[in-house]
Amino acid sequence: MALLKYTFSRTVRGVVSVFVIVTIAFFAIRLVPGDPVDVWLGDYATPELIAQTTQAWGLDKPLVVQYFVFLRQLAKGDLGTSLRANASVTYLIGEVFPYTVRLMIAGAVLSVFFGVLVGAFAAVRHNSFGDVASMTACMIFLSIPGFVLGYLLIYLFAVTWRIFPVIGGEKALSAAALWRHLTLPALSLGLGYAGTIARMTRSTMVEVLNSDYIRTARSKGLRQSTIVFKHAMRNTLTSLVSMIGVQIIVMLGGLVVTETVFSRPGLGRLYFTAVSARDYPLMQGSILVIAVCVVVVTFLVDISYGIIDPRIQYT
Amino acid sequence: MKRLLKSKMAVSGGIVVVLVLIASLLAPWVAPYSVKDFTRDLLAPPSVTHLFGTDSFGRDALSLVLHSGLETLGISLLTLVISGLIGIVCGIVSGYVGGWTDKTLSMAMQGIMSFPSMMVALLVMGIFGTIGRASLIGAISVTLIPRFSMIMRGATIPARDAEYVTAAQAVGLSRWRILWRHIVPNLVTPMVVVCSTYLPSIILLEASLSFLGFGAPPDAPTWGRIVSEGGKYFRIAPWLVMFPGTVIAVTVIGFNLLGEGIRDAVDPRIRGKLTAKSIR
Repeated sequence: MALLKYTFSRTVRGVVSVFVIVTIAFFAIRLVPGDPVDVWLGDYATPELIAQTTQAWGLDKPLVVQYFVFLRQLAKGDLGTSLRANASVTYLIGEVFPYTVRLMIAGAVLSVFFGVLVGAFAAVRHNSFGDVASMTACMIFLSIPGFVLGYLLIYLFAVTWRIFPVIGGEKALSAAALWRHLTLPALSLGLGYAGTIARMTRSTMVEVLNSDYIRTARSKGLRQSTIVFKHAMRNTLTSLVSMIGVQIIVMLGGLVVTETVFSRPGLGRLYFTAVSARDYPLMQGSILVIAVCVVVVTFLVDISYGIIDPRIQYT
Repeated sequence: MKRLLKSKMAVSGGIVVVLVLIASLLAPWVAPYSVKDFTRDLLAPPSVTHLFGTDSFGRDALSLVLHSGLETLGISLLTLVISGLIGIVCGIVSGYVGGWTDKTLSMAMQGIMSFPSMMVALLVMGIFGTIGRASLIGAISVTLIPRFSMIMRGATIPARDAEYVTAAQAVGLSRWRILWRHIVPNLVTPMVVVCSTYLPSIILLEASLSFLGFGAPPDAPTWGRIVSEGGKYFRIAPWLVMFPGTVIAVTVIGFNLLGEGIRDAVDPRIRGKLTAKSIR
């Protein structure tokens, strides 16, 4: 019951924050000088053509009117029509969204899995050679720009060894082909954040392993694996969850580069094309969807606290 | 400083940083070729004459990387200075004044921070133009200012509530004098730490944005732009991506190590707290 009430209040707050973000984005995009019509028409601009296009895109109306038109459409689930692609924004986003969700989930799972595993390993072997080596690897991964890592993976696994396909989405393919297409982008997206998560896991776990109850568990004669995975891991995870949540949100930003390098359809690349083309409705729609993603991830992270640590109450 | 020099990590990071800085500053003298040396060797693989190979115009890739070092690091450092100054001032004002100013500022800052930096930076560039140094620096600054501000706010509040500040108020010193003489000196350490923490993030974000073709104009490329140009010929000339990419990575590693060394030397207690906030 408490969880239900909590979910409800969080949903209301989430909707409000998305609304605020979208409103700010709406006015910010439009208040600044520079006309998308000029950019669109370029050298072909004649006064008549400019007037015609401005009217067709609804940009001739006062800003407030444009805003209310936007809100009315939004209420109907309509995000407007893309200025460039001449298709509805909802359709464009809907088409690429599954690719992004798959990539995000695969990237997040990879980074958390490798991150926590390597971090725990380094913490258990604190100050040993393995610790230094794995932390050096982490430092390298979190310092390589995402696009360089992407190209490196393509070069090694697709060009040299031909294990994975180079680029593209995974439209109308079998499950196996889908995974093959997903592996390299997910690695390229996830490995950098795995480095960060591993470092955080290590520092948290070193602290936990030095605490009294771990000493008690050791003196009881429990096996090392039981101590690490049952006693230490759980307490490490509670303090890690919020940081991992932040990393997953940051990972959303990495989508733009990863999807570009691997020429994958996706939300990041769509947003990037919208920005390059000054496609207002498409920018607006992408920002809305990204904002919803951020709110949902934050919510899931908060919920998972209670699952990992039963002492936490939802209020 | 002594502690800093004792740390192997900081020293090796520092050496890398100094080498990269010197190479970039002295590019006109140390680079084997000029960026205007167009040869007929298009996309030549690395060799003794061209260590990093040549690009699609037959230019020496090593010289290209060296010549664009100043542009890349200059933009990153300028961004650090601008966003640092604004963020630190906002943070101190927020923490010291408190009340509504603090609430409004903090809310705005947290709002920006809850969004992925890359997305915020792209939005800013979408609004102010995708080409040009000013909008690039502005876009990265917008994502960094809240981070500086929130950390400085956090450091200002305990200093503001300290007993010696209450004493200074009791003596009747003016607000400005208290702020300048009694609070700001306490904030120098967190300032140094925060700047060294976020510089690598700035370099990475700048690289990603220029990789996407945003920011610096094509005639004055930064490292990210060079990688992006090389990416077009990736299948036949992978060295055009790998060498400049490695230069970016090594530079970022250098700044990361140096930053971590500084952090540990200045205050071992903050260890782990700040490293977690790598942004990209």
